[in-house]
Amino acid sequence: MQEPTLLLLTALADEPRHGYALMQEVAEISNGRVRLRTGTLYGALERLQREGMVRVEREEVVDGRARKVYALADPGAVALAEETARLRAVAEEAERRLARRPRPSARGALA
Amino acid sequence: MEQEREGSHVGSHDGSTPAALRLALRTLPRSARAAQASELAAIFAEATAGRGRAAVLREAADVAGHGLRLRVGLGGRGRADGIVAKAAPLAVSLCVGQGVLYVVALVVMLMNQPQFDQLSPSDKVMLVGTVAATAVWLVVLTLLLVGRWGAARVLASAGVLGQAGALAWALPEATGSRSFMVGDSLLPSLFVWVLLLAVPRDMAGPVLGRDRGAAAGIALLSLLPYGLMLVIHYPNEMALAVGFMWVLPMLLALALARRGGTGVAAFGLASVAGLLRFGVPTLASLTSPSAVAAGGVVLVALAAAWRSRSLRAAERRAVGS
Repeated sequence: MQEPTLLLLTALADEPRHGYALMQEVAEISNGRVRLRTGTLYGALERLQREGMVRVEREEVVDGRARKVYALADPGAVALAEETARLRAVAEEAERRLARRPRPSARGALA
Repeated sequence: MEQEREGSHVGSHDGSTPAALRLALRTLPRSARAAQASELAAIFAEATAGRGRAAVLREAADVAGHGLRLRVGLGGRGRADGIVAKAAPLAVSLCVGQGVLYVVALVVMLMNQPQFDQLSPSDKVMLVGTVAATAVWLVVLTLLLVGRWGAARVLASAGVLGQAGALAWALPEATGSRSFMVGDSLLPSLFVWVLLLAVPRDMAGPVLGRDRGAAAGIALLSLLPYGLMLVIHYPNEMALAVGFMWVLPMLLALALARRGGTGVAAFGLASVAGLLRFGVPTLASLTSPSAVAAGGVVLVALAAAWRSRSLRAAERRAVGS
């Protein structure tokens, strides 16, 4: 799973959101590193809908603008949980190995 | 004040929609425009609210990219997006592998200066240009491996522009076959550049695992005929083999189109770059450039019709299910 997809699914994990809110959430979750633009976001949401991972929760009109509110579908939640477990396993293994790494001696650190 | 106006009056696809967005929305196919324009305009309006002209243009360009992808049959049902995303790094790797021949040729000639001096100025420009392009593709491949697609796209665009400039300069003075000059220098690069741009941003990430292996494999495969040329001394037959060997993976991908994985189809698509460098110019010299161009147009039209038909069939299945 590529990072933008992971971030989009994560942004939808707690509650349904509309397009622009998703853009903001993705930027926030990634500390501003990933910024999805309008066309990219829409294309990604279309693809995730086709794959059954995301569904349209409802359509609403705000300030005269029609917009869709997207929600995480069950297959999307499963895929996100699997990806999270995979990343957690990698992170735990990295931490375990780092902990076993010999610490540099004071003399080595000064050298 | 003006920035606020830019962002705050674009709620629907009407007269108040900014010109940049109106133009961008025109890139969408008619049916997609009818279905998506309203929401795209709504997201666009919020994303650009209070922001400057540059931000508006960037967002509009991204919408145009989405529309153009839909126009060429990407972004619909099926595996096309995934195939293009996997094929792009493979095609870049193939370009690097094929370019090794030119690097070796330039090094050998520079070691034997009189041989290099005998080249016409246009041949020198073309050779050095193709070697420079190989270096550019190598850097692009490195960027793709680490997931820096934005930088890779910018560099590839600059490289293709440079190659086009060199070709425009050299072509009027050309002494050899112009078909080979265009094929050697520009066709594969143009194809790979279009592939790179066609990959949706959300599917562009680091090239990992088996995809890295495939990228290395296709580069090695492109070197194989050069190695065979050193031991098999049938230049005409080997030239044909080098030119047309890439038809085999394309045929394999077509044969396995329905049940093959994305990887096989991506390998077949990337192989087009190999065919463009030597196969198409060889075919042009055996027939005529206009016949090859006409054949290319027919093939592209057939591919577009096939893609359009399969998209419609997928839509019907989705509606029926």
